[in-house]
Amino acid sequence: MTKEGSFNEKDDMEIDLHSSGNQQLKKCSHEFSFDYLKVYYGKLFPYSDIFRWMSYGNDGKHPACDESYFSRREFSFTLENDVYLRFQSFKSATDLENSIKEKCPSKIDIGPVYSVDPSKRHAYVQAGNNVFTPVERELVFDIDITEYDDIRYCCSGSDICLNCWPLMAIAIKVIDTALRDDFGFNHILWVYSGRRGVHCWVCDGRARRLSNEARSSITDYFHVYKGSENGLKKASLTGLALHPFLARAYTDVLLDYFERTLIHNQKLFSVEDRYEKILDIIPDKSVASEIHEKWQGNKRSSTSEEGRWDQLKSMLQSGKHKGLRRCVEEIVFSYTFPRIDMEVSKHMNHLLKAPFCVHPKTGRVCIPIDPKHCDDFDPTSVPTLSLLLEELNAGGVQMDVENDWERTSLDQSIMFFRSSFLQPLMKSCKEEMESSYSARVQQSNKSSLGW
Amino acid sequence: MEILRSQKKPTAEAASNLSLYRCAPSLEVRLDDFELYAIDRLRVLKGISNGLSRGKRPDEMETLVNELWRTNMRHPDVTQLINKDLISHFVLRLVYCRTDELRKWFLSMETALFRYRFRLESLESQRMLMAEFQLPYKALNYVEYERVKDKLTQVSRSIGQSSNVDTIFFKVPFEEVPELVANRRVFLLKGNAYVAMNQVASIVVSHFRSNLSKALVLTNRKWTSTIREQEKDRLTPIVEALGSSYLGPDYSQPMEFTDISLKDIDQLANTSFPLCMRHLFNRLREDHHLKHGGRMQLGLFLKEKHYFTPFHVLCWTY
Repeated sequence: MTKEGSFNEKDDMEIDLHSSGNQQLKKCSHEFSFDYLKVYYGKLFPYSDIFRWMSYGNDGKHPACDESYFSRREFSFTLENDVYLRFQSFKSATDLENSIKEKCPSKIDIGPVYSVDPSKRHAYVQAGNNVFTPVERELVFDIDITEYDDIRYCCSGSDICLNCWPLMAIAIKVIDTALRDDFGFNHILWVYSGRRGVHCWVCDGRARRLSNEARSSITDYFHVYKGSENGLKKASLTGLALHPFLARAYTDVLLDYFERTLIHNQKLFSVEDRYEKILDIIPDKSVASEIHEKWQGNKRSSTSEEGRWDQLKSMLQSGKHKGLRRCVEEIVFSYTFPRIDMEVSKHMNHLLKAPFCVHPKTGRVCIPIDPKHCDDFDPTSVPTLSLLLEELNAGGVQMDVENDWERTSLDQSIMFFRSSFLQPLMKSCKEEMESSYSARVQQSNKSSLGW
Repeated sequence: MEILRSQKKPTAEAASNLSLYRCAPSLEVRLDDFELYAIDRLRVLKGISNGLSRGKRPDEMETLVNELWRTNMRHPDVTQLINKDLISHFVLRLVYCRTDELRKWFLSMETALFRYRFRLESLESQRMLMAEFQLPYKALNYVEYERVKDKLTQVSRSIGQSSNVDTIFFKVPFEEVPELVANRRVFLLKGNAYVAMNQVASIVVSHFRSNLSKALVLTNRKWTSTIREQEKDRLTPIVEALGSSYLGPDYSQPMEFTDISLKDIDQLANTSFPLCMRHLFNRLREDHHLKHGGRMQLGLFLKEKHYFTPFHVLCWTY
């Protein structure tokens, strides 16, 4: 009810806004400024949600709750003058909120939960025996579209558009499915990084307690690229069959995206430079040059992306030439398979940007992405700081919403964060805590019987 | 859980010769044996170190380890074989616990030794060792196996191994087998890895390694706090000497020699002389003459080789 009301009012208000020449926010001329950020931190940043998430159920009244848990979590702030503050820690949501409002950081990173409060670490560092050490940390992934620069032609560097976004959608789908089906994780949050990539937070207890070695092994499980040839990162697939994980990725995701979307978006076969790169992957040079000639000639052969791809496929799969069995897959993998930043995932102490931060270069908010609808996600129309502030102002005075963000486009993101991620996670934490507590109680009862 | 594939039951003879070295044996050992057993084991470990640094393949290493063990870890009394194994291991723990570098080296070599000895054990013996480690593995029951067997075959094919219907598979949490996960050599389902019997060595070895690593740290503490002082007149000097002992060929004593006579020299020149000397000697034979420098060099060489005929006789002979 309130919402519908607010939409109507907003429309009216917007007209009023422009005509009344509101001094504070005519039409935001740039996407980002520290003044805007201050308002964002003042009214929109979801402190209590972040606090609840990071507490993993320890903020309750249950006897098993560890009151020190949240305060052992490291946060780090990047300030306006590029000063970087590490090892920040907070005792409560209010504490967190006050510090952020006061310091107005352009970026907030989240680190691990340490054995002791990170701001008190100096008291615990002894020679040789390091008592200050990470004990829990989400399993995280960082996928940056610049890793794909060798195969995307629509943008380069830190730009991203709807033609190369499918590469991110592919990465999300492949990795999300593997994390759930292969590794058995359930509480996974995907977040837009604000400019050119996505982050993944795996928050199951089992994931948070993984050793560096285990993280490394998961990262390697997701790795198929073996160096680059001619400036192309090539996937190397050997063996008589593909591992079930790779086979599933190929059949369910990679081939489809490649054939229906990428070859068109990137015009992979109609531009000579681009298809030459693909032909370079073929180990049999005579086959490669045969196809090259055919396409260069151009008169009678097909010039459509699909047509040429079909031609290439049938030639490689015809079985007439040896050693080309895996060639089609290698091409598809090289052009689609996720390229994660290996270093980010391997170590517990790697810091990663918090969701709902604002990216200073674009002004876009780092909002969650629904993996089931990642195809429809449009990074270019993500709410920006200036948009949100306009919406806030347009909302006017009538509002009796509990939270300011309900009047803005951030509403959708926060509701999604809560319903699909936070609430199931909280439920699971509570269950985990209760069951381990009752197990401990039983155990101590048994031993105290003492016969 | 039942194991469907194997029909054999472990027999008494399948008891393993391999120890996990969980705790020091309460045996009495003579002081000489204390040192000698350790030296023998050290030869094995250094042999392994050489083999690894020469880049030997796993099958070559297996042979090497077998040979090293048989050569050095023998004992006239067969019943003492296992004791020698245990005693030597624990003595070397004392020797190699003392610094980080020593610990790293010892850990690597003992783990390699264990890995290859494990590979040489029988299947039953291997399974008993797995049980000793109390690994959280479960052999698959029939229903589970049927559900995943296609995928298991696919994984086997992807890593170039023939899928054998008799292979036993185990289900373990994926954290237990990081190497296998990293190289996609196992099927993963809902957080469990499906590990073939022949891959199990990897699990066992990594447990061995982590147990030994922890033990070494504890040993070091005990050494520095009590043992070193307590044993300063008896064991400590031996331990410290072992740490810096050289175990290679003994070059300090002159080798056995026999006099070389004129008639032998021809033959010896072709087989045993270094090239420079051979060249000089051949020139002597051809020209019946050698300049002063050459004469000095060859002369000194022959003198050293205990050839006592004067040089001029040599020249005239040839």
